[in-house]
Formats: sequence, structure tokens, C-alpha cells
Amino acid sequence: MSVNVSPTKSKLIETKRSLALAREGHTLLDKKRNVLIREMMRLIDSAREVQEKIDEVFSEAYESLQKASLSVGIEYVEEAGTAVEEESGLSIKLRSIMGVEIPEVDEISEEIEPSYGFVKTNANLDRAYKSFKRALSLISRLAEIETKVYRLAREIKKTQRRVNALENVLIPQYEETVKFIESYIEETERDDFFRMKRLKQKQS
Amino acid sequence: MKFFLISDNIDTQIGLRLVGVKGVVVHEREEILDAVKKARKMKDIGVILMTEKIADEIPEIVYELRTSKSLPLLTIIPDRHGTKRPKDFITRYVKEAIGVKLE
Repeated sequence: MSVNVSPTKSKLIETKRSLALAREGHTLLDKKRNVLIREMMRLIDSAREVQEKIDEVFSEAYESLQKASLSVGIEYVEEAGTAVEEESGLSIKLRSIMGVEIPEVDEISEEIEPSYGFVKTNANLDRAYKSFKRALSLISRLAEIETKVYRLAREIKKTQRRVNALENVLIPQYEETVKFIESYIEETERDDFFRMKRLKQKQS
Repeated sequence: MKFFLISDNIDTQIGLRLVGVKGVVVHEREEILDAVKKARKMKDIGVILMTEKIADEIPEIVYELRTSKSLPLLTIIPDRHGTKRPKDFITRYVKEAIGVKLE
């Protein structure tokens, strides 16, 4: 790497200051990365559980729906659906960890409550209702965990890139500049010193 | 807050309507974009649900929703034929970010 700066005292001070700043930034970013990674590690177990369950829960739900529509007719399943009150118990809070907005979703309970008429329905429809309720509960967890992990992962990657840039490019560059200027100044000082000595010798 | 479903098939819509999730069935790209726009305008929508086919159709919107700092969140759900996403679709983000495979 060639250093292309004017080797002056003021430049030296300036570079030293930048170097100190870069080092400080490096420790801060390193801390940030550690916090984010720790936060993500806490999620890993539930993430694994949800991603395993999702396929199973949904295929069960679709299967039971199919049975229900075979027994009472798809139109009737749809009709029963219109009687169900819209789910509005979803509650989401956004929390910020090191500037990353991550959501906290309250899980929707799997509990069932009768919300359509029983006159023309049968057990198959109830089963479909129950398994979709389970699916919805899983969806609320999936929404939270997937978004959290995704955002944390993105931020970690970004931070990692910055840490690397500081560590491997910026800081070494500054260090080299400091070294270059210091040695140049020393050299000129020796030069002067020697010249003075010679001058004295001539005078005497 | 509520859910809103954007589905490409009627099964998903009927099934989720049974537990109180309203949604639309759309197929064309234009329709999907329209539905997303409408859903984002609606108040009180906390989570937008999409089936996998819909999400594949509009990757740029998916990215935008994922990274936006505000609500709604986006969740992708499988359809009747099961999921096409890999088994480790969440933990793979972790792997990408940290560079270590976690077992």
C-alpha cells in the first residue's frame, strides 16, 4: 500500500485522531454484533420448532378441511365461515435492539369457541375449525420469529461487514500512515541536527 | 390488530376464514400488487399472510415488507400441496449471518 499524504506534523495529529476514532468504532460495532448474535441465539430453539411444525400443522388443517367440505359441501363451509367473527385479538409491539426493530407478537390461543350454528354442521367441520385454529396460532408465532430472525440476520451481516472493513482496511491504513509520517519527521530532524553540527564545526 | 390473507387458492381462504381471517383470492401479478396496496392502506392490519405462490410472484414487495421498520409484518404460509420451502427456511438465515451451521 502506498501512502499518499503530505508528511507534516498536523497531518500526523489528524491521522492519529482518526485512528483512535476508528478503533473506538471498531470496539463499539464488535459489541453491537455480539449483542445481536446473542439475541438471535435465544431465538434459535423456537425457530427450529416452528419450522418443523409448520408443514405438519398445515397439511393436517388442509386435510381436515377437505373432509369437511366433502361431508357438508364447500359452499356450506364458506357460509359457516362468514358467521365467524373476524379475529382481531392480534397484538404486536415493536421493540428495538441496537436499532433493529423487532416485533413481539402475542400468541393467538388455540382455544376454540363455538361461533357458527350447529344445525347443519357436523364433527368434520368442527375438526377443520379446530385444526385451522391451531394453524393460526402457529402463524402468529411464525410471524414473530421469522421476522425477528430475518431482521437480526440482516443487521448482523451489515455490522460484520463494517467490523471487517475497519479491522482489515481502515485501521491498518491509518497505522501505516502514522508510521510513514513519523519516520519522515524523524528523518528530517536527524537531517537538521547533522547540518547544525557541520555548521558549528566550520565556524570553530 | 388483524390478519389479512392474500391467497392464490380458495382452500386457504375458506379454511382461514373459518377462524376469522379475511382475505382475497388473486392470481395475476397486477391483482396481487393491488391487493397488497389495499392491505397496506387498511388500518389495523398487523400481519399480511401470503401463500407461497403469491410470494414468488412479487419478490420485491416481499423484500420491502420484510425489511420495513413498521407494520404490517409478512408471513408466508404453505398451500394445500405443502410447502416448497426448504426445511430450514428460518435457521438458514442464522447460518448465513454467522457462517456456522448450528445443529
